[in-house]
Amino acid sequence: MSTTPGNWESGFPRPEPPARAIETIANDLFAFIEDLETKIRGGHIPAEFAQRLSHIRQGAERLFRR
Amino acid sequence: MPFAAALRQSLENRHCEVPAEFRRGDSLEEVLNRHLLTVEQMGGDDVFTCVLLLSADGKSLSYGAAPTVPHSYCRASDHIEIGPYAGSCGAAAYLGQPVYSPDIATDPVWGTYRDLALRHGFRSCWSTPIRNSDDTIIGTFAILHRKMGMPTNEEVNAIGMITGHVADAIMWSRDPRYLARQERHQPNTSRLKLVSGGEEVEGPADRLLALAAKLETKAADLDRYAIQSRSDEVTEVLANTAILSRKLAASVKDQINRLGSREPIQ
Repeated sequence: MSTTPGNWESGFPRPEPPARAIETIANDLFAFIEDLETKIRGGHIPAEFAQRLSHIRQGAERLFRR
Repeated sequence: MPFAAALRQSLENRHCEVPAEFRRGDSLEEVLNRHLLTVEQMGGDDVFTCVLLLSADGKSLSYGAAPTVPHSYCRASDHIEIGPYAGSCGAAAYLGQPVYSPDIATDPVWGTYRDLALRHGFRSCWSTPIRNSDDTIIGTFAILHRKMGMPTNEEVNAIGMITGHVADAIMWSRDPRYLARQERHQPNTSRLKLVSGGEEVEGPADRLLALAAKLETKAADLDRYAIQSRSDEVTEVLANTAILSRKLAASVKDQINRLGSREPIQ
């Protein structure tokens, strides 16, 4: 008999947060901000930065949900 | 196949970034974590990935990276003696071929690890051997799901693509000549090092604390830039980055508290 996928409240132990993944994403965000600051000083933020931020945010939100 | 095309592009982008990551001192685990997080983001919420590395004597597997697999699961299965009943990964390394378990609850391959997997809600697992350039098995790449099922042809192709990139990263980490060849084709990038007061920090708690502090400082800087900005678009990017920076700083602090080596950090 199959179980309910994705439902950690009913029977499965809640997983511990994936610490290494959070650290990796935090480091990536830090590197992103440093690049962003360089561009801000130049007075322009290239469009790719919004996409890069979106990618990092998606990864982070995925971890926050777990 | 938009998924396959998008995944290929993302992995090729990752491939170009790997030499610089190794050069600035990132560990193999960090590099593989980024690969796997890229795959998981594209694969959806029911995709948990891991890379296990084969020991030098070829008898056991241990975790190389598993960014979102629960720690309690990883701890309990960190040293797997390979064999036909040692879960999908243990069997894949033992047999030298992919082992797809569509239903962990009934697949005899999961004899030793079945209860552990089910307790954590995992219902299917697709594992593939990772081979080096000499065709020797050096580890396994696996995707765990909370749903039962077999991979589609598109997913099998994607797994092959992912496994190739993971193999490259492992070989680069083990053979500097491999990396040096790649670096000749890559631009130089600055080395990112976490420092605190001008000195490199050691230990997981200190490292995480320094990271959280830096993210909070950056968030405050971003707020200031946002106030000064005259462009709504730029202000939005800055404000969103500041919010994410604070959320990640809080998460990192939470990890420090879980390490239990300090007074709780607010």
